[in-house]
Amino acid sequence: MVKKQNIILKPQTIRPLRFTIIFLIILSIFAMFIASTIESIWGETGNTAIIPIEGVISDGQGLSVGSADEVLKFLNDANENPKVEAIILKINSPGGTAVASEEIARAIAKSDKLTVAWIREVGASGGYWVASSADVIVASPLSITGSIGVIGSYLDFSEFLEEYNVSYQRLVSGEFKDMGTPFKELTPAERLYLEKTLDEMRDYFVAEVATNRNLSFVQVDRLADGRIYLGSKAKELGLVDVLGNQQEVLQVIEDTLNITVTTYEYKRQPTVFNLLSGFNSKQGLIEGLQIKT
Amino acid sequence: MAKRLVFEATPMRRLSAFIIDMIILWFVVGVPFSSLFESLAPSRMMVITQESLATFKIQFVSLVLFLFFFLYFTILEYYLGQTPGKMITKTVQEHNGFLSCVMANLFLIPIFPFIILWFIDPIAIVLKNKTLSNILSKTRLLHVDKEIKIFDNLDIGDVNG
Repeated sequence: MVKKQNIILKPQTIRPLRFTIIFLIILSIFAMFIASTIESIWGETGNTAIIPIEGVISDGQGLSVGSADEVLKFLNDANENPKVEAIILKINSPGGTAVASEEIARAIAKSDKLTVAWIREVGASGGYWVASSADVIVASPLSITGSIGVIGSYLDFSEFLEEYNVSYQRLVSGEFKDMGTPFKELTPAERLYLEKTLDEMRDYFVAEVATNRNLSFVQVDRLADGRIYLGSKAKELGLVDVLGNQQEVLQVIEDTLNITVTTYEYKRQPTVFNLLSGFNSKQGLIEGLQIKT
Repeated sequence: MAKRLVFEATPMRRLSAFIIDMIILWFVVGVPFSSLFESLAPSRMMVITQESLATFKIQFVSLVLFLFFFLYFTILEYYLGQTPGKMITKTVQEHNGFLSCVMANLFLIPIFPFIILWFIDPIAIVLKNKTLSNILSKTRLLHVDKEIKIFDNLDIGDVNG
């Protein structure tokens, strides 16, 4: 219940509006001072960013941090952070799609910060393509790397369907329109065309690695028959710079930049959608034609 | 002599005054602190390696921010009986000194036990038209209505009459 009262208010000795404005200005200045003081003490994010590249590199969203979009976002963030002097690419990837791998590699090459690729268990194919674009590659002697090449293999279900009297009704507007479908056998012309395309992609991959690693095309071409190399062998071949682990990675940065490394790492918090869509990811049983490095 | 009619402020008037004050505080104090929060708690895609330290930093800065809120309400209510939000909604905080202003605004500090007032005060407003903070600090939030002029030699008695 609202009560009414009859009271007399004291006359104001302070002019409220002027006092209020002055007080608010002082409060704001004080707040800015305190905020900037705290920021100068605690605002440091570290001078070295760690960007994990894990799992299959692709353009989609998966469970692991292999999405090109995300890695590019992290790279962009690290590049724009004036406090960051070096970027560590923590790679544990068997490869991925050609486009996604190339996009990440290009972004790393463009960075004006010191980039160090740290290959953990696996840094092969597209994973190696990404690593090769860094300034320095550090790998364990037992890391699996190399596998320079392109693969477009897929399962052919044409005979399986025939056994069950399922026929493939071909309705296409061009001779090569359904090239690579798993429901029919590859024709010689199609095979030739696809292999030629794979060769072109391979040559591009080899040329990129040669440029990144300061090797000749011929040298890399000889190594690019798709075989993997252990880290120790890769160092002999010029595909890796330093053998070691995290300690060596930090040492490389400290020696090169003459700084004390303080790191921070990018992580993605998977959403419920990510977790559920992981079961419907592109890495399903029947993939059809999907060219990967 | 001029007299004014005053009422206990209604919950809606209390809430309106508070919201206006919060908006003003956002511009005066919140904006300087927003870039600090961004650097301490970056986007969810980025996690600082020492997560527990990052959490402590954010909590500490939040506490500092609320202390600014506390200063705003306490000092303005002590000296003027009003914050800008109360000026706009024509309400006045009646108090018995600096200590009562401090006690009336302790709910703004986000630490135990004051944080309990965040739950108790709204209930008290609904039941008694005043907050527990008001009761404990012996303060009142009054709505100052229109001013009426009266002649000195007339006794109008009690307005409620």
